[in-house]
Amino acid sequence: MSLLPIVMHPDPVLRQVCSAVEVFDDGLARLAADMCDTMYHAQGRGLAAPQVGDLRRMFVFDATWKQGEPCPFICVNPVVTALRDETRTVPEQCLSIPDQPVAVTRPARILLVWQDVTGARHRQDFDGDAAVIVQHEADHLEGRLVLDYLEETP
Amino acid sequence: MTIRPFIPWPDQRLRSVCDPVETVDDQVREIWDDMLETMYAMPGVGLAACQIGVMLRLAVVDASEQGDKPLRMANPEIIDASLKLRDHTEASPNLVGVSAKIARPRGVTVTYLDENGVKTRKDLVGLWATSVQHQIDHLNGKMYFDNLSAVKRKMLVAKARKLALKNGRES
Repeated sequence: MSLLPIVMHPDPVLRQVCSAVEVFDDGLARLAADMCDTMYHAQGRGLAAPQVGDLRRMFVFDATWKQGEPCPFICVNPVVTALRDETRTVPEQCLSIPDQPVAVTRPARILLVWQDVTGARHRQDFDGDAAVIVQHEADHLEGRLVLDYLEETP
Repeated sequence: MTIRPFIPWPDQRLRSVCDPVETVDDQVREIWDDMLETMYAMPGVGLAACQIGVMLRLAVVDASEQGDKPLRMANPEIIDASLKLRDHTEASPNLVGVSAKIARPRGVTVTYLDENGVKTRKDLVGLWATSVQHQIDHLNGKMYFDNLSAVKRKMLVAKARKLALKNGRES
């Protein structure tokens, strides 16, 4: 268990598209544990692998730890599907772009399908803050940042 | 403030890399003001100093609707660009009568020295981002049509030359 340095914008690593995880080994489990430590230490509720310089399709998140016990989700090869048309606009913060919240409109309810560090498959619906965090982290795996949602100034 | 004339392409100065600005002084600020007046008179949404023959890394951009939010930039640099692209039909007062659709990143983060010589960082989106990328290309001796394929570029230049001849100008 150790803290990893967080890659800051405008590091080009944050613009890379990550590749699918095919090997579920100890290294992956260690990375997941380190990412959780790093996320909690940075007072974040989500962290994607490219934010610690690793280009594997993986993120960790914990939408509720600030209200209670830590309960991290470790999501490998995640796939997000929007449920219904309802959207929600929330100012989002990013650990890689400090002090620069950006209002982002996203589907309010999503279905997340993912694998854990052993390769086992999971699926669950999310809404509220968790839905926002999951989509924010999934964007990181595509090289997409909150800055890409900035509106055009007239 | 003075409206300055554009140097016509293919002037060598439009293919040269401009020099970095050492200090933002009154002389620099005066050039910016002239550039802005020249840009608004076009009308355009951005201008690089080399377009009026000043070989310094100076640019102005204003893509606001009212034309009342000018950005004065010295030594502008792109430090981040979105993966998502945006198409825009670009043109240049240095080679009139032609234009081409160019795809560039929809959003960019730029750093530059502002009118007080302070290093500033800004996120630009949409037409603002298109314009600043177009201007920085100028400062590196690159025209928008250098982004086209060789065939399309040749056609554009030929068309511009024909137009210039018709208008009785040398090209």
